[in-house]
Amino acid sequence: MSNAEMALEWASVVQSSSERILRRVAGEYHEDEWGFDEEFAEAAFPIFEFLYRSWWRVQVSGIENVPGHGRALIVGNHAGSVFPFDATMIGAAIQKEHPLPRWARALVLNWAFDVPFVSYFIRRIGGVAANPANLTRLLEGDHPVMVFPEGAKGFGKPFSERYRLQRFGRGGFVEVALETGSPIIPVAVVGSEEIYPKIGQSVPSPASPARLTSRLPRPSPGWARWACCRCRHAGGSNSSSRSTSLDMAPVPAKTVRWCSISPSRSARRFRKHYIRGSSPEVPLSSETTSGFWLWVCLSSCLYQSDSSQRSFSSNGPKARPSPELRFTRSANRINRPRGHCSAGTGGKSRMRVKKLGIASLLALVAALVVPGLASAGVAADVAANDLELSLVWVGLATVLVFLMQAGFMFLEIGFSRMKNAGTGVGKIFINLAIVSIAWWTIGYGISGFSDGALTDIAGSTGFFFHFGQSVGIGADAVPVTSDTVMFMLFGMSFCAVSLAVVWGTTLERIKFSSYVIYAVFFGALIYPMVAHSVYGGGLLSDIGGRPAMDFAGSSVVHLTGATGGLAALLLLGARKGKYGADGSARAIPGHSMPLVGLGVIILWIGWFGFNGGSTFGTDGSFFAEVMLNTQLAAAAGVIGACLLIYAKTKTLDVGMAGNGAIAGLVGITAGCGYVEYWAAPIIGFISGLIVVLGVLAVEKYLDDPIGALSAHGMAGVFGTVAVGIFGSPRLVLDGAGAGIWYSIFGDQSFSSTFGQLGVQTLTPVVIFVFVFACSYAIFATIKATIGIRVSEAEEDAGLDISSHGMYGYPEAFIPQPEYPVGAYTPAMAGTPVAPLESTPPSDQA
Amino acid sequence: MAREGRVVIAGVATHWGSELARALARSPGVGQIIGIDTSEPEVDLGRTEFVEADIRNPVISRLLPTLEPDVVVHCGIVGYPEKGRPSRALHDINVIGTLQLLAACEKVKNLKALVVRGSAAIYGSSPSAPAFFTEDMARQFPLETRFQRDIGELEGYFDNFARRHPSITCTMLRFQTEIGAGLDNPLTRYLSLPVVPTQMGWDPRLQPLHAADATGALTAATLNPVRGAVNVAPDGAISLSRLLRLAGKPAIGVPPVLSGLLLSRVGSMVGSGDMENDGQLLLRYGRGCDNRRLREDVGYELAFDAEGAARDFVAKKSASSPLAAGRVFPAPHPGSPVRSVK
Repeated sequence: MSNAEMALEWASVVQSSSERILRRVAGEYHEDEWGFDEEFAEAAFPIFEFLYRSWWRVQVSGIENVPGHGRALIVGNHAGSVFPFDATMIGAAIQKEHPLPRWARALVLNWAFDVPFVSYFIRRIGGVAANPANLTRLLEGDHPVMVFPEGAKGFGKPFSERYRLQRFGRGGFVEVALETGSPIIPVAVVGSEEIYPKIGQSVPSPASPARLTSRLPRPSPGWARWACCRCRHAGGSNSSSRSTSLDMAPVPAKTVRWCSISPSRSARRFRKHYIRGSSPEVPLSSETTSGFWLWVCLSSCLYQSDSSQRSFSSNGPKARPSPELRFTRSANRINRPRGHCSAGTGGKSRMRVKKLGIASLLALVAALVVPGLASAGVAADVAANDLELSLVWVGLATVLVFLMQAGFMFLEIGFSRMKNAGTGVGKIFINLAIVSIAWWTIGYGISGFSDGALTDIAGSTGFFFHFGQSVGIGADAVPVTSDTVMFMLFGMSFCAVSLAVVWGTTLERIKFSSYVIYAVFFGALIYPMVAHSVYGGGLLSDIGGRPAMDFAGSSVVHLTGATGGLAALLLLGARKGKYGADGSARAIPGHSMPLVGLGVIILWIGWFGFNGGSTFGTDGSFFAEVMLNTQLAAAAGVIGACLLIYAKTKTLDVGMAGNGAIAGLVGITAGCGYVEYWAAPIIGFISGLIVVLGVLAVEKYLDDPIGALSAHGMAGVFGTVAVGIFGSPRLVLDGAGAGIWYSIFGDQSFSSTFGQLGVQTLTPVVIFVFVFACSYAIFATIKATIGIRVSEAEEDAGLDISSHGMYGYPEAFIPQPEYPVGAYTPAMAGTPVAPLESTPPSDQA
Repeated sequence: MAREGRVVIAGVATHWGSELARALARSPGVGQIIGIDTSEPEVDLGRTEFVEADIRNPVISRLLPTLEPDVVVHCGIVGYPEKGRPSRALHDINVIGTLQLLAACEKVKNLKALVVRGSAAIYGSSPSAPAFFTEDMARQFPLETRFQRDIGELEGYFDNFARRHPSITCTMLRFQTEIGAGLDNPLTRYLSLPVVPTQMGWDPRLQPLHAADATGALTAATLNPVRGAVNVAPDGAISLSRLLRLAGKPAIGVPPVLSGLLLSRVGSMVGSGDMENDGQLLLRYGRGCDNRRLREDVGYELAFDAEGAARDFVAKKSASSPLAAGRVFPAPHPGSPVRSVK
């Protein structure tokens, strides 16, 4: 065909389809009285055709037993776990295989018509609510009607009961067929039990019931083995063994003809990914792969209106109901008792099934996508690289993380008023010093590994870190060397960061002694125990077999710090003047935006060490991926925060932009090593939104001067949970599930991703509860004994002068003589200005 | 049966009462036509005599026997509030009115037939409903809305009356929602909205009954009453989406959370007091009725099927825009036939 001809053909296709679209938009199409829209059904048919031909490669036998015209009741078994396809496949078989194709109507569970979108889709492709009145009318209209007397019991039964017919419903459909004189055509659908193998897979294998108690269900080879047996069974030539396994009593065995099928490409692909290492007694071959297709087997007619066994050819039934028969039918119908639910219970159960329906729709979407996007996870298992190179990188990262102290210092000072500038500097020095010693003596030991009774709580090696001792447990134990010390130092820098986060909430009013006392406990106990629980083989590193994934510490470091800050804040109360008499919050702006900006930038830079160094080396240059994720999230955090604060206030709050960066960084901290590049900006952006909303919400009740609760706490929680959403199967820890995203749009099983999401949600909760309880106890003790807050006069004067006897910005408070000396002496009210000494009488000399 | 007989129409000032009176006036077999209502009809009823009376008032029991009717047609059941019939009075009008009218009919000597113009709303709208309700399925589902319960209650009175008076042919007509270019009811007002809100994810099957068929079936049932309930519904059904497409109306799917709020606003806009109940359910699940009894027993041949009624509505609606008819939206007299201003 020449190009011109092809172009002409395409043009005509485009024209005809656009004409059709216009015609349909104008309403010019036909709908029958049931709402069946043949054109719509034809348009939707390729989907079913694809499933029929390429996906399941349905094979049919006995299709000629379906009458080519006139009424017929097609009765089948119903299976398919969530969203059964047997009706559509039977319908497709009649369309594709029958010499006189026509649209078969299906009696569909009533509640499907109570599910939005589903209801009219089903109706337009020929579904009708299952009740005898509808069946009667359909049969009287000489339609072929499909009915599945098992109903929801058929496809809703557990996987362990596959191929067992459930109790038939009491819809009275046989009665209707009798009354209308319709032939009943039984259909055996084989294979539909396994159309969602992932769901079967998620069920614990009966062969190992211990699984149920030991851990959450995992993909097991049990299903695959079973499927292989099943298929060999079905694919062979021995038909009698198959009919026994089917338990399809009403079908006379001699009229049932079975067929075999060769596996489709999708089935082969499936085998490749899911049945690797199947049991040895069932060799993998094209005949024994998976039960992932469907047979439709139509037996000959079972029942006739005159009760005689008669086979229908495609000429259709000879018998038509007589007027007398119709008369008796209507008489019967009037007297038939109604089986519909009463008002009392109907509503509730309908609600439940409605939810079920929506769930099954989602499951359908997921289940259709799941097998198609199967891809094998490749564990990044790179051999150990040059140790010294790794140590250099971790050392550089350690320096960057220690540099973050400067970032916190500038950030907090910038958000403070001038009179409280110096105290922030002192705090950072003291805290860094205390944490360093506390970490070296106790903290590192507690954060490390241990065995025995304390495993879940604390480590047992590495206290007073020194040469000659071993760090780690059992086979993993290593002697303290020049190498191991680098990792100890790296951990110390994290502990210092976590503590620095705490004080953001306490600016401008806390007693300096509180810093000192809390820092000891925090550096020696609180942070090390949290770190141990996640990184040191503690409680959270194995929740039902899954590790909590927090790559660099969204929860471990930042949420811990923010939680400590919350405890302090609750005991401290708001700064003087923060809330008006009516309880409304007033802004107490910090004195220096440039300092805030500098602080944020230093933190941002330091975060490359914080996240990148958490790779603990240069293996596979993985740290570069982590650093890119970090940068993308920070950028998106700024954008998210700016957009939201601008939308809310119509001004672009600079501090909020900085908070957006911090939030994006905190948010990606947990996921930086577990998510793909595309997910990082999403996480950062949402974190940026969270921090704005958080700051605005927190401000109404709590005085958090720099927004630490939102930027570190809320974003930290989100970041941890986000790993359960976006965690890439390529990157997640061994034993951990990927993010739920990869179940919805990928091939990960919902059981594993949901489980991981649960772990990721549980982790921040556990950490919050633990840290809050400890911190509150410590701060409450401080408050009860020496007091946690400075006096009102001290707060008025500023912590610089009251606690430290100096000013952060002396010139602002202590007038200095200017040159020429004595020419200008401004009087500053309210400052303890000593009268100037008399000017040197040099001129007079 | 009612040849040369005397027909009393209760609720003659309603649109359908007036239409029936005018149709009967043209019918040669009908003798005297007497209309009863609380207010005088706004249209000229020809040879129909008007008696001002309130069927809710027990005085009707003394009045009706003096009129010596052969056939009583009750057209006074209203499904939506109109001018002079606020929604809180609907129960009174529908149930108490019917009850008093039935009590009055007991007093009438030689009453041959009683025809009640009821509503198919008694079937309700339900996802598990049969696609076509037959007359015996009226109480298959719990009566959910207020109007449905009212209809159920008055049908109960009606059934008792019919059972106690086997000599009287009692017909209960169950009308589907009427549609017509000249008609002014909640459905036509809904379809006349510039942008029509629908419930997202739902596309009900409707059976709009052409106004001509509504009058014709009522007239036919009056002239040839049959015992029991009779559905008055067109053949076939049409989905709301197609109806709107035929009408060229843009439809906006309202998500479920908002639809309750918005549709009750729409309900008050189009003057259906029960939009949040009857109307909303109808526009979610739809309703279909079997009309074999109407065709076979009453012997009325419908002129329009559901699609035809919709097409006719659209064609005539576009021919005469509301502005050309001098109508200001909302209509000053909802429920009354629209007359063009000369």
